[in-house]
Order: sequence, then C-alpha cells, then structure tokens
Amino acid sequence: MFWSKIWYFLVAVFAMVAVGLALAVPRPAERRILEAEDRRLEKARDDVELLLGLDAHARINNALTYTRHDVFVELKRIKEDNPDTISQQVHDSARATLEQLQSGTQGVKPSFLISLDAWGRVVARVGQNEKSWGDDLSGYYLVRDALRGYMRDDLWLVDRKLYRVAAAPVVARPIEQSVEGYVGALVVGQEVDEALARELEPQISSTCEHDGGACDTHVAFFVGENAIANSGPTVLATDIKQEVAKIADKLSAKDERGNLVPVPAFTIQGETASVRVAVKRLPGEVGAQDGFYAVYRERPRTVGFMGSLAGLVKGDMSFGNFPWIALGAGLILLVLLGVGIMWIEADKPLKRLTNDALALGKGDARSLAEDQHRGKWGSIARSVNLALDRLSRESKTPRADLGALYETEGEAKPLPPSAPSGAGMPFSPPPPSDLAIDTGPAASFTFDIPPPPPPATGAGPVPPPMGKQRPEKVLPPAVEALRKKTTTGPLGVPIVQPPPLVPAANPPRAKEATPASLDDDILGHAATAELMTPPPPALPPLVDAKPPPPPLDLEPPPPPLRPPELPPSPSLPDGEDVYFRQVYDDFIELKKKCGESVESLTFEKFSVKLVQNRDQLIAKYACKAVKFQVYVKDGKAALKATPIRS
Amino acid sequence: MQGAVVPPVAVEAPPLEYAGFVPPTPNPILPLKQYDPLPQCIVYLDGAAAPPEASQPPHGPVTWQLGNHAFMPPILPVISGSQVEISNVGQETHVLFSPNQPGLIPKEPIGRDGSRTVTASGKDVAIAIQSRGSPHLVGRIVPLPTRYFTRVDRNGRFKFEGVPAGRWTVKVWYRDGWLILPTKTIDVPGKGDVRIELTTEALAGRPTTPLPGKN
Repeated sequence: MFWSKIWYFLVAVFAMVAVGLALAVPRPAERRILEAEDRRLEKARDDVELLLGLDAHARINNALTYTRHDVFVELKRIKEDNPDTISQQVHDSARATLEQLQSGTQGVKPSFLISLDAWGRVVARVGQNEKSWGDDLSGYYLVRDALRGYMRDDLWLVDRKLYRVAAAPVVARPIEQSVEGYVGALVVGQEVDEALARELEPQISSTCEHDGGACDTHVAFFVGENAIANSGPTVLATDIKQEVAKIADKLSAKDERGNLVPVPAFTIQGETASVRVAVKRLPGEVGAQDGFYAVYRERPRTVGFMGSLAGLVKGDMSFGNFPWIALGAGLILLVLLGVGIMWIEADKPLKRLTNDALALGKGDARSLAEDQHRGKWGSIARSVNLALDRLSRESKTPRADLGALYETEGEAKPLPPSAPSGAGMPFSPPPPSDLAIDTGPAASFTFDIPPPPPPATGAGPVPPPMGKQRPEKVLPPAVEALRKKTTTGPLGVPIVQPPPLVPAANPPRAKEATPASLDDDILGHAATAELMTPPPPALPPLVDAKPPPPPLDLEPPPPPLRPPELPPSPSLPDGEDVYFRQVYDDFIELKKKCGESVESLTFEKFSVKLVQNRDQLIAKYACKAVKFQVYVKDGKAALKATPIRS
Repeated sequence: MQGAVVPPVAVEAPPLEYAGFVPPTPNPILPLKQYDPLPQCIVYLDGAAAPPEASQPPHGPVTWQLGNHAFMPPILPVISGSQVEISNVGQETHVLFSPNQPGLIPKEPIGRDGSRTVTASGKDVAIAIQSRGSPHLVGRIVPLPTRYFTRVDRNGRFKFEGVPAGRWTVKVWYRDGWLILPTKTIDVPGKGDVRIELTTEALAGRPTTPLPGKN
C-alpha cells in the first residue's frame, strides 16, 4: 500500500494546489483591471484639462470678438483725455456697450464682462459688481499681459466663486500699426459651477446613462477648503479634500520643464464602495490658492474565484476556448494510474489471498501459502495458519487427558530445553550469560519459577536465596530422599540426581484445565490438583497448593543441564515437533525416575499443552520464544516454561 | 532739481506668470506693447551733502494704500526705520506676508478699511509684501538712507525739492535693486533737467558698464 498512499498524497497535494491556484489566479487579473482603471482615471483627468483648455481657447476668441465691437470707443476717449478719474458718462456708455455684447451672445452667455482702460482701471462691468468701477485691476497678471497685447486666460477666485477668465487687448479703430492703438482690454469671465462639472462628465466617462443620467466618472473643483463644484456625491468632497491636504507637496511638484508632475490616483471610502480619485492642481492664479480639480469613480469590486465562476459565459467553456481534450486525457491518465496502483497493491494480493482462503476452505490446501503473500497480506496468512494449527492441535488432544502429565510424583531432572539430542546429551553447565538470559525475564514472572532444589552435599556453600525465602515445606519422604540426592553444578546451582524409578499406582486422570492456569499445569503446582479429574485420593497432600509467591521472592530457577537453546520458531512445525519431542522424552524419563505413571501421557497431549502455554506466554509478555525445562518438584516431575525475549 | 528717466526702446519684460490652460498668445492685430518699467522705478540722490536730519524717519507713519488688486503705488520708497501703515482701501480682505521678512507683518487678515503698521528698515533691499489670497497682489517697500528719493510719473519725469547744495549722485532703483548704470552726478544748484537713460541690460539685471573697482 506504499504507492497507494503516495498516490493519495500526490492527489491531495495536486487538489490543494489546484484550489490555491483557482483562488490566486483572479488576483493578477483584478490587479490589471485596477491598473487599467487607474489609467482610465488619469486619462479622464487629462481629458478634463484638455476640455478646459479648449474652453479657454473659445473664451479667448470670444474676448477678441468682443473687442472688435464698439467697446473701444470709450476706452479710446479715456486714453486721449487721460483723466484722473473715469466719468459717470463714460462709464454708462461703456456699460451699455457691454450689456449689448452680453445679451447678444449666442448660447452660454458670459458670467461677466469688464472693460479696462489703458492703465487697467475698470471702466465698466456687467454681470458682477456692476455699480463699481474705477478700481485698478492692473495687478492681475491677465490684465497686465492683455494691456500689452497678449490674449490669455486664467482662473480667478472672486467672492468665493471660481471663474474661467480670458482677456484680449482693445485696439482703437481705425487700426494704426502702432502700439498707440492699444486703448485697453476686455475681460470675459465664466463661472466654474456644477453645470460645467456635469457638462464634463459624459465626455470623460466610460458609461453614461442617456438624457443626462448618472455617469461613472465625476468631476469636482476645489479651492483650498472650499468645494466649488461637484458633479458627484457631495459627501465625497470632504474626504477628497482631506486626502489632497496630505499630498499638497506632491500636487505642486514640477519637473525640470516646469510642468506639474502627475499625482498617482488614491482611494477614499465612499458610502457604498471605494472610490478612486485622481487630482491635479488648477493652473493660473487659483493654482497658487490651492485650487485643484478631481475626477473620481467607484473602484471596481474584486470578483474573486466565485465571481470569476459567475462571470463565465457559455463561450468560455467551448472546445475552442477550453482544453477539454487535454483535461479529459489528464483525468483518464490519473484515474488509470490510481486504479493501477490500487490493483497492484490491494486488489491483486487480496484476490490471491481470497483464492488461497477459498482453497483452504474447500480443503484443497492445509494452510495458506505464507511466502506468496507480502506485507500485511502475509501477516494475515501467518495469523490464519497459526490459528488453524492451534485449532488442529486442540482438536487432536482432549483436555481431559492433560492432567495425566502431572498426576504422579517422582524424581525430576532438569532437561535441556531445545537440544535435538534430548536427554542423552552429556551434561554441561550453561554459561553465565545464558543463565542470565533465562533467569532475567523469568525472575519477573510469577507463574512458573519453582523453588530451587536444595544444594548437593559437599558442593560448597549454597548461595543465599534472592529476596524473601519461601517457607520450608514438609515434603513427602520420597521427595525428601530425592532432594538429598541433588548435587551442585559447577556454578553452585543445584543439580538434581535422578532417583530410582518408583512405579506409581493408580495414575490420576487429568482434569479440564483453564487457559489462565496453563502455566501452573506445566509446573505441576497447586493447579495440578485441580487439573486432575477425578482428584486422586492416594496423592500426598499438596503442600504447594498455595498461590505462587510474588516475583521478587522467587529464587532463580535451576539452571539447565545444557546451554539453553532457543526453541524453534512456531512457524516451523517440524523444528517445534523435534523440540517438543525432546522435552516430552525428558519429561517422561523424569517421571519414570520419580516413579510416576506415564501411561496416559501421550506426546500429542503434551505438545498441545506446550503450544498453548507457549502462545499464552508470547501473547502476555511479548517474548520471542519460550523455553521449557523439566525438573523435580516435591518429588514429582514438573515442567517449567521460561519466556525468552531476545 | 528735476529730470526724466528714459526707458530703452526694448524692455525685457518679467516672465509671464500664472498662465491658464492656454499659454499667452500675442494678438494678431498689433505688435506687443513694450513693458513699462517706470512704475517700478525710484530715483535717489546719494551724496555727502545730505544733512543728518535727512536720515531721520518721519514722526508719523507713511500710508501705503492697498486696493482690491494692487498696492498703490506698487513700490514705496521710505527712509529706513520709517513706519509704514498699510491701509486697505479696497473691498477685499487680505492676509499679507513678506517672503523675505516673514515676521514683519502679523498673520491676522486686514479687512476693509483696516490697516497694519510695519517698520521698514534695511539697506539695499526691498521688502516684498504679498497677499495669500491674491497671488497677483505684490508690493515692495524700499528703505533708503535719506529722504532724497522720488518716484517717476507715467512719462518718467521726477522732481526733487529742498535738496541741499552740493554734488549728488543720481541712482535708480528698479523692482528689487539698484540699476547698474553709468554714474550720473549733478551739482545743486544747477541748470537744466537731468536725463537718465535706462538700458535694457540694466533692467534685466546685467551691468552695462564695469562696476566700480572692477574691470
């Protein structure tokens, strides 16, 4: 399943990457849209300047046209007379002329007209402060230049109103080709108001409703803190002024040619949406009075992934615009690859195991072929085989006969656990390391460590028992005699000498054993009596029928006569049988020596018991193997199981 | 003593300022009229014959009228240390300031019929006065050592009275400084008019003759 997991991981990564891309891909497009919107806004800002420039041209032409009317008459008279003050008569005459010019103008009439004499004094006005005249306007740059013969325009802030003004010199007629022909100037003014802002809107907007409806781009004019005119929502004017106040320096910055440096658009928050604003300082005198204009429009909303999906049209998913073939081929390839990996790693071995199981069920095979299944499938096969083997053994060995293993007393002899040669091998004491290996784990067990036999006479000092010593038991005479015959091995470990065989009378029948007391069955301790069915009336009293002592109170088990060897692997029945056969032989021999009956103890019963005990110990202590030893306990042959962890 | 200041035939005008959406264009009918420097000119007599009292500023302030759109006159010569009362005779309210002497004028606006008094002192420097609300409203106060100064009329004529006898040097102040002209000395009492011819170079700030002490 390794490649399947890798495959699922890659698919998950691919899916996450795809989702991430789907969420991130609209961002650059939105950024491009915003950049394009800014460019459009800046172009609209430039368009406003261009339109106002065209308007200024038209106004200058109007002023020049007005100067060709009779307005020069009074101005020429004033220049010729050179009076200190302008008389009422001259003023009235000049005013009448201006009124005729204003009323005779087709289309949008000028907001005001001013006639100036050669020194810049006001001779007459119409449309604004009509009763005032004689004041000097020569300070205005526009007037000063017009008196010299220039035609130009400017922006004036008068009485908190912004005016687009133009001026042209007045030349007396008949025209003399001399500077003496300049007799004054005429100033034409038009107010900057919402009408102008609304007039500009459709010319700079991308979309605009018909019949003067709302446009997407608005224009506003400001001078200092005052919003002069605004074609859009008035609530935005305050925000625009506040933002412009922050960038006042940038608004006045000029390049090396003296032109204003464009200020990047900025964003303000409107009532319902963000608004992008592009501003520019107004030219003329009002520019020095912090006059500027702004064009603004709502910022396009970010659409995001879902918005992009919602914006799809039928044509976007057509074969011409969408890679259906490549996408389908990729999908098929991915599916096939995933299915292939699944088939190789799951379906195929499962099918093989299923077939083996069917063959097993039909009786065509005795076990599952473990070597043909890999990984977890092999584990399943091995587990099934173990279960089958255990069931097979249990079915062959009646539990009622198990007690025959332990029904007689007799002399016991330690038995090498796994030597193929069995009890016939010459005795050799186990090396210390082997002894340590066996006794280490066994010391912590509570079920199978019998008390050591007494040391042999003359074998040197007996090593002190570990921990609390078990109380001395009252042994039967035969057993006591057997114990006296024990000797001590090279390492001071007592070795039991086999006593003469004493035939046992009335061998007891084995009693049904419970799985929890299997070890005791092997040990032949108190549970032995319970295993006997029926209990033998001739048996001596069971002095060791108490529960086994706690682990630390135990004495080390008697060492094996030969170096311990690991039992064969449970997966190798042949080796196990050999080992069990050896243990069985040793046990039978010891029972005979102890004078116990061996008639009802068959190898099949014995081996089933050993397998059960071994499996329980392996399951309980997670050990690798179990070593069995035979010895004499209380004058009877007993069997001890020792878990081996390494 | 009297005389006349004669501008040159061609006067280089100051650069055009605060143009609108369209650059200023000469009219197609007549050639441009020459820029007139005379309203910005002051004639001054410099000499050792000036008595000490000629350097004393007047007891009262010198009144300088502020119209709606211009100072009248646009340039005001005073004795150094004189008090100048700027009187607003126009309809507009102005906030005045001096770019080269920032603390000279209070920041409070001067309304209609209001006035502000400032003390003009210094030497060889014009005190510029401007309005924050009207960029075209620019005036200059020129403090001079003695009271022997005068402005010229539209024709360039000027006249001094009460000048002590002696030799005087005639100097001309234009806008922001003295014009560098050939030295013109007169003896008082004398006969005839003094004729001072301005040059294009001098009005443009370029000397027509080597400066004294320089080659």
